[in-house]
Amino acid sequence: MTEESIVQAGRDGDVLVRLHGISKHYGKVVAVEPLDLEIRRGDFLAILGPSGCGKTTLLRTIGGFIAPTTGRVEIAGTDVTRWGPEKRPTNMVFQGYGLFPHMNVRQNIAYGLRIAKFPKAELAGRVERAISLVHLEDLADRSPDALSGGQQQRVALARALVMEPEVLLLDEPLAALDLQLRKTMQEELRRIHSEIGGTFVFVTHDQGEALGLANRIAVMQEGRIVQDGGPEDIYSRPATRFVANFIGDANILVGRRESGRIQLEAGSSFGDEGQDGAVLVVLRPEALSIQGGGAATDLSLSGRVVDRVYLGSLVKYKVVLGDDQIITVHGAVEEDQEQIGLEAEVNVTWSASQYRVLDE
Amino acid sequence: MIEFLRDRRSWLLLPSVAAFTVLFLSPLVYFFIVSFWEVKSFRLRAAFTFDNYIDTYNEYAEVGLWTFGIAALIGVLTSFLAFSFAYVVRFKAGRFGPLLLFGALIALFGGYLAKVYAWKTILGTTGILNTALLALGIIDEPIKALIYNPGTVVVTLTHWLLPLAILPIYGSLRGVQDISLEAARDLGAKPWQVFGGIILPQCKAGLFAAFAFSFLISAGDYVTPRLVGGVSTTMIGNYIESLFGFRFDWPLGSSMAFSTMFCAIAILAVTNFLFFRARSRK
Repeated sequence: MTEESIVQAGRDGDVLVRLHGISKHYGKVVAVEPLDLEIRRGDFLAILGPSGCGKTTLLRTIGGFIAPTTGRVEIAGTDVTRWGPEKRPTNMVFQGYGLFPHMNVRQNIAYGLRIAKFPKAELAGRVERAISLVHLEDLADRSPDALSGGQQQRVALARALVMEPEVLLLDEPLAALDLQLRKTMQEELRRIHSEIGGTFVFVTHDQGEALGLANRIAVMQEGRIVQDGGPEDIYSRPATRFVANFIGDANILVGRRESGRIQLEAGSSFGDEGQDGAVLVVLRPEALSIQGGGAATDLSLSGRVVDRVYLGSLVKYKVVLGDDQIITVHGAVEEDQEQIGLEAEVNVTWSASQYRVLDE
Repeated sequence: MIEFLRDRRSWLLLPSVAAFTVLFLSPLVYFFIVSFWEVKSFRLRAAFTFDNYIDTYNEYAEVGLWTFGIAALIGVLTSFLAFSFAYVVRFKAGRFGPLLLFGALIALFGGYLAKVYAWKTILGTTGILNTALLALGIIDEPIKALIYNPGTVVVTLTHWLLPLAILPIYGSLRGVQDISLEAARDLGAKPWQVFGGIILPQCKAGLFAAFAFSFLISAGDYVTPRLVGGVSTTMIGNYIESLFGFRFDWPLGSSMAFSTMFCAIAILAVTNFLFFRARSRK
C-alpha cells in the first residue's frame, strides 16, 4: 500500500484506461451511446451526471461487470473487453458496500489477497497497512454489521485498495452518508489519493462532490459525455447549457449575436465575436455584482430585487430583469453596505472575462 | 422480569404458554417419570428403576442406529435438494423465482397421508409405474422391489419434507446481497469460490434448520415406514408405538422415546458444532 506498489510501471500522465467506441444497449434502451474516454495514470476522475445518464453503466463497463454492446476497453495497453471483473486490474467500491457479513473487518479486507493466495506474512502486512490507511485499527475484529455507514465505507475502500488496483472504481462512494460524514470522507479520499497515488474513477450525481474531489470531470447526459476537463474548465467554461445548469448555479440569458454584437433579450448589448445566431450567455451568480442605481454599461442589466437572503459570507439576491427573467446574484457582504433592500432598483454588472457564450 | 410481567401486553403470551404447558410440557414430564416405572401384570407401578433404559440399550440400540441413519440420509438429501431449489429460485430463475416458490408452497397443501398414498399408488405392485412398464412391454411381471423397502421411506419423506426445508434455506439466501457477490468476483474470486466462500457460509443457519427439521421429523416418524416401508423398515417409532399400544409397556416405551429424543438432540448438537466451527475458524 505504499509508493513501491501502485506507482508501478508507467508514469503519471500516461494513458492507463482507454475506452474506444464503448456503447451499451439494453434491448432498445440505449444506456451509453458510443463514446471514447481516456483515463490517465494518476487521474482522480469524476463521471458526473444525473441519474439514468449512463454513468454507472460506464463505470461497471470499466470494472468488467457489464459487457459493452460495442467498443473496446483497454487497461494498461491490454484489451480487457472480454475479461470478467476477477481478471481485471481494477477494484470497485460499491455503492451499498457489499461487505461480507460472515467475516470480520480484517477478513473482509484480506479476502482478495487470500483468493490470490498471497503468502501469509505479506498478506498480513498489507492488510494491516490498509487498515491503518483508513483508520480502522480499533474495529478490525468487528463484524461489518456492528459498524456505522461511514465505517463500512472505509472497510469497502480498504478491501479494494489492499489489492493495489491499477484503477480504483468508486460507485457513488459518498451517497449513503450524511452530510457531515460526507465531508470527512471527501477529505479522506483526497488524502488517500495523494498518499498512495494511483488512479481513481468515481461516479456521482453530486456536482459538489465532483468539484471537491476530482482533478478531472466527465459530465454525462443521456448516455454521452458532453464535456470532459478540469473542474475549473467545467465550471467557468461550460460547453453546453446542460453543463452550465448542472454544475453550480447559473443564470442563463437568451440573446442573439449579429455582426459581432450580442443583444440580450433582457436588455443590454455588448461586443462578442462569433457566428451570427441565437446564443445563450452564462453568468455565474458570484461573477455578478450588484449596485443600487448607477450608470448602465454594456456589461450590465437593470432590474428590481425581489428576494434577499443574508448568508453570512455573502448575500443572495434574486433580481427580476426587464424581460421578467429572474437571476441570482451572490453579492459580497461589503457591497451590501449600501443596504440594497427588497424592491430596490439595481444594476447587475459583470466583467468581460466572467461570462460564457454558448452558440445555440 | 418484573417489568415484563407488569406490561399488560406480555399477557398475550398467556394462552400459548398455557397450551404449551398443558399439552406438551406436562405429558413430557409425566412420561419421563413413567420411564423409570415398571409394569407388573399389565398394571403400571410407580418405581425407580433404570431397567427400561438398560433394556432399550440392549434390545433397541441397533434399531435406533438404523433409524438415525435413515433420518440422517433423509436430512442430507432433503437439505441438498431444498438448497438446489432455493438457489435456483434466488439466483437463477429471475422473475420466475416467486412463481417456483409459490409452486413449492402449494405442494404443502397436499397432506402428509395423501403423499404417502400417492407414492403407494405410484410404486405399488399394481401401481402406475408397474402398470406403465407392463403396458410398454419393458417388463413381464410387476417389479415388487419398488415398494416396501427403506428407499421408499426415504423417497416419500423427502418428498413431503422438501417444501418445508426450502423455506429456511430460501430465507437465508434472500439475505445474501447481490453486491457482495459482485464484490467477491471483483476481488478475484471465481464462481465456485464465490459459491463456497460467500454464499454457502451465509446460509449455514438455513441449511442447518432444514437438516435438523427433516432429521427430527424422519427420526420420529412411524406412519410412513408402516405404510410404505414393509417389514424390513421398522423404525424406532414403530416399536415405541407398539409398546404404547397392544404390548402395553409404557415404561419401556417412554424410556425408548426419551433415549431417542436425547440421542437426536446430541446428534444435532454435534452436527451444529461441526457445521459452524469447521468453517468459521478460517
